[in-house]
Amino acid sequence: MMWNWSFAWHILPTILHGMVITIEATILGMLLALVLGLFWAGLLLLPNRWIFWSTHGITEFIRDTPLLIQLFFCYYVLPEIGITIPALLTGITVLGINYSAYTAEVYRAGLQNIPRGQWDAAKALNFTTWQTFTRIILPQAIPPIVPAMGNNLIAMFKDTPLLSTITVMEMLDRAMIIGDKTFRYLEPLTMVGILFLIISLMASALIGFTQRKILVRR
Amino acid sequence: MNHKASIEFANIHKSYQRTVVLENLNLTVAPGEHVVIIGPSGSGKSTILRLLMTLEKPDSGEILIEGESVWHTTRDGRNVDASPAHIRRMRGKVGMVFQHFNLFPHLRVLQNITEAPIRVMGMPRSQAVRRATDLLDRVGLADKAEAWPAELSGGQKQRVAIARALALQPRIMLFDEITSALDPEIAGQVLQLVLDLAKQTEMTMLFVTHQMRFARQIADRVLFFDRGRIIENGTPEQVLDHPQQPRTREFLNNVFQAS
Amino acid sequence: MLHMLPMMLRGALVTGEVTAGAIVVASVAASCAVAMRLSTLAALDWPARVYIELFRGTSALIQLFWAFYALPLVLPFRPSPIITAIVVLGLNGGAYGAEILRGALLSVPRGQHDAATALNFSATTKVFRVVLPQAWPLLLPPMANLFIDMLKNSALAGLVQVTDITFNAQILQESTLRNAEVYGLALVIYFIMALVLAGFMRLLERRMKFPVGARI
Repeated sequence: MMWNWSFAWHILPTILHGMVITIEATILGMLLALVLGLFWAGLLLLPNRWIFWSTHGITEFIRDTPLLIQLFFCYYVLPEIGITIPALLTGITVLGINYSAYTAEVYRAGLQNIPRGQWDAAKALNFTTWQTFTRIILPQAIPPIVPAMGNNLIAMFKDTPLLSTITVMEMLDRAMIIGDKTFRYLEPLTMVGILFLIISLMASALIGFTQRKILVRR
Repeated sequence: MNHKASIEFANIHKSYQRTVVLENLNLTVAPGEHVVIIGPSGSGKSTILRLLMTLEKPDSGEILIEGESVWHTTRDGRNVDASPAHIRRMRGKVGMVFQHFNLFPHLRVLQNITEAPIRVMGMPRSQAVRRATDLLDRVGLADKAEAWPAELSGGQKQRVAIARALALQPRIMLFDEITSALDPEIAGQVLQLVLDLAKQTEMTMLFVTHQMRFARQIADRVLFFDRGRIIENGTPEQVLDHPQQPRTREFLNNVFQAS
Repeated sequence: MLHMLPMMLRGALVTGEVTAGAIVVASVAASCAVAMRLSTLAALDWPARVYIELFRGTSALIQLFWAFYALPLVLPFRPSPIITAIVVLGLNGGAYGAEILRGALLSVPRGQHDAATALNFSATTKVFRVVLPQAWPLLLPPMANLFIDMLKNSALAGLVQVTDITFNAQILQESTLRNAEVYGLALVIYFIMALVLAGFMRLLERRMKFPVGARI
């Protein structure tokens, strides 16, 4: 079976339509991961060791289990406990929670790189803990971790095809539907692969660029 | 003793990107001679040693060791690039001690010394160990054979590095600012070890150093090196006490003021 | 829930097989790719670069589906699902492994290369006795992470008919409809497997340690 260009052109709009959903899921999932990850990182900073160990346990469990099973679990179990939400929303939530465990680590590394003296100086100027955190520490901690967050964004982007397993009509799902209907898998799957490749290569280049920018500024 | 020159540099050029490090360098060192190279940092002194050790390749010119070209051989009457085997054979005549020791951190002290004799010369392990133990004894570290490099002080590391280089029985030894990373007191001990060594052997020795007292003690000849060129060449008395070039005088004044 | 256990454990065995097989493939692929990348020949460097970018730039599931659905149409034979899964997940892991390996090798200081040359080591002796032993301690922690990622990625094999934990969990879920129990159990089994793998890697790490000073 050889590559059929006219077939490829014919299915391109359908696949590009799926790309919109892929990107939507990535962006919303990442926003959730950024917020929730900061929350975990904040909990890990608190001096209470019960909070520390339970937070650590939760994030460790999330990191050590497959995203696919986490998706299945939420997709099937949420309705059982009375939460019926669209599959896409379930997917975004699971992606966000999954990656929050990784962004938490990035935040933590960023926060640990802020010298003790910055906290001391803020205390000496009589800032509250919250003010210190939001106005002194975070603004210093965020820029250096932008590239690492970018890498997480790309990784999440490449994980979105998993949402196809819970009926989210993103790129891979559409490609597989086309394949199932026409028995031509080569074109749709290859096209999806190439689209992913193009976007992640561009994103990597962008991250490399930002990283150099940040390195220059520091 | 061999009547041929031990080392010969002929019209050597070397540059990195756009910076010229060595410019038309010509230098001959006699067998058993001790030559000290002094000069400001970044003047290309270390590059001479690195070229001899084949850590770098010259852009043009010839380097001869005991009359034989390091980088070229003749085939059918033509000068061609030497084979890796030839380069390794030439390399075997030279040993080097580095400024930052470069001991292998994952090998114990004794293994650091035995590794090359066993793997490069094919010496039986028992013999290599016996020789390494002798060498350690000679550099005053017999009790450190089983220590890790990280457990040693800087001076001890450099002694091990000297023993390691000696283990291959090179005919030429290169010492590249071997005390620059050491405290003055420790540096003195290491230099004393090298002075003793120089008296006991007939090896040709090249030193790059900032220690003028040591240079005076060990050198048969001192070269003052600046911006890729040898600008003064003579006995320690000539170069250190009666320098001819204003640039040399300026440098020596600065060094003596500093020490 | 107990009656699900035998089937899930049979799945766990297959998951272990897929992961182990993929790790072997990944190790070979990563070593070859790095050897090619570190060579000075562009003809070797470029194919390795393309391999790494191709597998890192696309998603593992797409690669797996492509190999399972599209590739057999152009291949003269159809490899078994488990072989397909092992090779694809292995090549995927190998692309990430290559970057880890390269980073570790390049982090061995230049002075170590100089010393090895000055002692007249052959290229092989230099690589195996000087560079690799020092790269190991740096290599192991990211390698442990990669292996755990590969264990988790092996769950994708269940989507192409490999009877691993995921596959068996789906069957159990369809037949019993006890969703929370089935997938909860699956999560726990994966978690335990990851902990075992991580523990093993940490053991390895501890055995590899040698005291490293600031400047050797």
